[in-house]
Amino acid sequence: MTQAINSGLPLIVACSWALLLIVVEMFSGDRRFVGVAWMGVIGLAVTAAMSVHYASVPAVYGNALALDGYAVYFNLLACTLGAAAMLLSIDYLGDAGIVRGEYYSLMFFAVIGVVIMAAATDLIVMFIGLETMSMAVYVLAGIRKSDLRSNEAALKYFLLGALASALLLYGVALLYTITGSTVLADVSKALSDTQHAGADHLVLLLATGLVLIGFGFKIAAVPFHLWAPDVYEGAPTTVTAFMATAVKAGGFAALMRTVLVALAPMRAELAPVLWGAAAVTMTLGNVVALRQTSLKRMLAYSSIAHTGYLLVGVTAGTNEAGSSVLFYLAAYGAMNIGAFGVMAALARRGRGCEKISDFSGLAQTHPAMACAMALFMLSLTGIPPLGGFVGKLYVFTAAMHAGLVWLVVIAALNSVVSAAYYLGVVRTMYFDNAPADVLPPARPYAAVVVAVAAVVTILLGVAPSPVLGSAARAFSKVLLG
Amino acid sequence: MSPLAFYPLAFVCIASAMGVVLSRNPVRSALSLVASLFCLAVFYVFLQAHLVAALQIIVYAGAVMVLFLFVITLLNLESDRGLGEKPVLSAIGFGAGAIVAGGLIAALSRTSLGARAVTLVPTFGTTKVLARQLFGDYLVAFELTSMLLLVAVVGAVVLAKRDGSYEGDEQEAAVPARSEEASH
Repeated sequence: MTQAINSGLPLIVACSWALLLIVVEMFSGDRRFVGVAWMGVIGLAVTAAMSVHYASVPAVYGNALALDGYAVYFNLLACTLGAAAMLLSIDYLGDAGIVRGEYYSLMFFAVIGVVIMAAATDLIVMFIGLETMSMAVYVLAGIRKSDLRSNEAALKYFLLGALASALLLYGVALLYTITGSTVLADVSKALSDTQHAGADHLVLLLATGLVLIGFGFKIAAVPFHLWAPDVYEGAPTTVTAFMATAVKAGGFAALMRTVLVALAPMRAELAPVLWGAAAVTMTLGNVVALRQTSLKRMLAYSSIAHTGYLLVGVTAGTNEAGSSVLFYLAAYGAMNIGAFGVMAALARRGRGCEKISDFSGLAQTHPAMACAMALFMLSLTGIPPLGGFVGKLYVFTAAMHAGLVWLVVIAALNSVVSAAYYLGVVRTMYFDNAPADVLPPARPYAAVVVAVAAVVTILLGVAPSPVLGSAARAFSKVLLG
Repeated sequence: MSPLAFYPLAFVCIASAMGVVLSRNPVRSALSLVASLFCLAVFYVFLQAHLVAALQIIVYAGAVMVLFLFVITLLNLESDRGLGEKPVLSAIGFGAGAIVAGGLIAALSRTSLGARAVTLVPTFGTTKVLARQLFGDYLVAFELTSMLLLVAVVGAVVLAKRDGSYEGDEQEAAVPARSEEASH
C-alpha cells in the first residue's frame, strides 16, 4: 500500500502543482508571468526529483502504472524539456503578444501527460495520458488567437488528432475483445497463446494497425505526418519546441511499450510494417526539407526525418536498440530545444524570425547565437563529436546487430542528404551579408537555455556514457522474458 | 437478446449513425445522433448494463446533445453549405472509409469470439458491481480522466476568453515587420 502511494506521489504532486499554477496565475499582477514560469520550472524539478527518489516500483494500482526505470527516464526527460520550453517562453510570450498565464499550467499538464504515457502499463491509462498531453498541446498551438496561422494550426491539429485518438481507442477496444485485458503484460501473454487461432488473426491485425496509426500520428510518422509542417509553423515557436521534443518523446515512450511489450508476439508481422514506415518517413522528411525556406517548416520536416531514424531503433526492438532510442531522444531534445531557442531568442513583435533568410549574416551581428545554431545544425546532421552523431551511431549499430543492414544503409544515405539543408542554414549565417536592419539582441532567458542546450549537445557527444548507461538501465527491464 | 429485437434495433442504430454523417443539415445530423445514442442505450439495457444505459440517455442523449443543438442554433449555420470539398477528395474519403468498414466486417464476421464468451454473474452491470470496478480496479484511470476533463475545461476557457491587451514594450511593438526583400 505504502509502495503504491509512494509511486503515485510524483504524479499527485505534479497534478496539484499544475492546479496551483492556475490559481497563482489569477493573482499574478505581472503581465509577463515571470513568477508563474519559475514556479512551473520548480514544480517540474520537484516532480523529477520525486520520481527519482521513489523509483523502481514495478506496477501498482491494478497494474495501471509503473514507476520503473523506463518511466523515470522519460519523466526526467519530459520535465527537463518542459522546463526548458517554459524558460524560453518567458520573454517570447510577450514578444508574440500572448498574455495568457494559463500557458504555463497547460504546458505543465502536457508534461504530466507525457509522464503518464511513459509510466502506463495499461492501455487505458496510456490513452488517458496521451489525451491529457494532446488536449493541452491543442490549446497551446492555438494560444496566439489573433494569428490566423496559429488558429489554423490548432484546428488542424485538433481535428486530425481527435481522429487519430479515436482510431487508437478502437484498436485498444479490439485488442481487449481478443485478449480480455488492457494490461500490457496480460495482452502479450494472451496473444502468444492465441497467436495462431486462425479466425482471430484478422481482427488482431486490424487492432494492431489501428493502434499503430494512433501512435504514428503523434510521432508524425509518414503517412500520418501531414499535420506536422503546418502545425509546427503556426504554433508559437516555444510551443513548437515543446512539441518537437517532449510530445515526440511521449509518443515514442508509449509506442515502444506497446509494440515491444504488449504486441511482442506479433513481431514477425510488425517488423516489415515498421521497416517500411521507418524508411519512408526518413526519406520523405529529408527530401521535402530540402526545399523549405521557412526554418520552422524545415525543422518540422527534419523532425519527421528524425522520427524515421528513431523508428529504425524500434524496428530492431532489441535491448540495445531500445536503450539507444532513449539516448537518441535525449540528444534530439537538446539540439532541437537549442535550435528553436535561437529562433525564440531573436523573435520580436511583428518579426517572427522564422525564415532561413532572417538569419543571413547572423555570424557578424550575433556571433554567439550563430555559433550555437551552427552547432545544433551540425549535431542534427550527425557530425562527430556531437550528441546527434552518437545517438545515430548507437541506433544504427543496434539495428546492424539486429540484421537490418539495408535499413541502416537507407538511414546513412538520408543523413548525407540531410547535410544539404542543415549546412545551408550554417552557410546563410556565415557567408551571407547581414541586412541593414539587424536583428535585436538575444533575450537573456532564452540565451541561457540555448547555452545550456549547446553544452548538453557537446557533452552528449564527447562523454555519452553516463546518459547511455542510464538509458541502458532504464530499458533493461522493459522487454518481457 | 433475441434476434427479433436485435436486428431491427441494429438497423435503426446504423441508419441513424449514417444519417449523422450523410445529412447536410447540422440540426438533422444532431437529431440522428440522438436516435443513434438511444438505440445504443437500449442495447445496454439488454446487456444488463442498466446504469450505463441510464447515464447514456441522461448525459449523452440528454445534456450533451442539448448543448450541441444550442451551439448549432446560436451559430446559425446555413444548412447546405459544405466545407467546399472537392469531389476527388470526397471520393478518396469514401473509398478509405469503405476499405476500413470492409476490413472490420470481414474481420469481425470471421472471429471466434463466440467460442470464448464468458457467462456473466447475475449482478453484472448493476450499480454496485460497476462502482466496485470503477473505484477499485480502474481507480487510476478514473482519477486521471477527471484531470483530463479539467485540462479540457481550462483549455476551452483559454481559447474562448477575450485577450487583454499587452502592456509591454510599446516601442518594440512599433517596429514594422521586415519585408522579405529587405533581407536579401
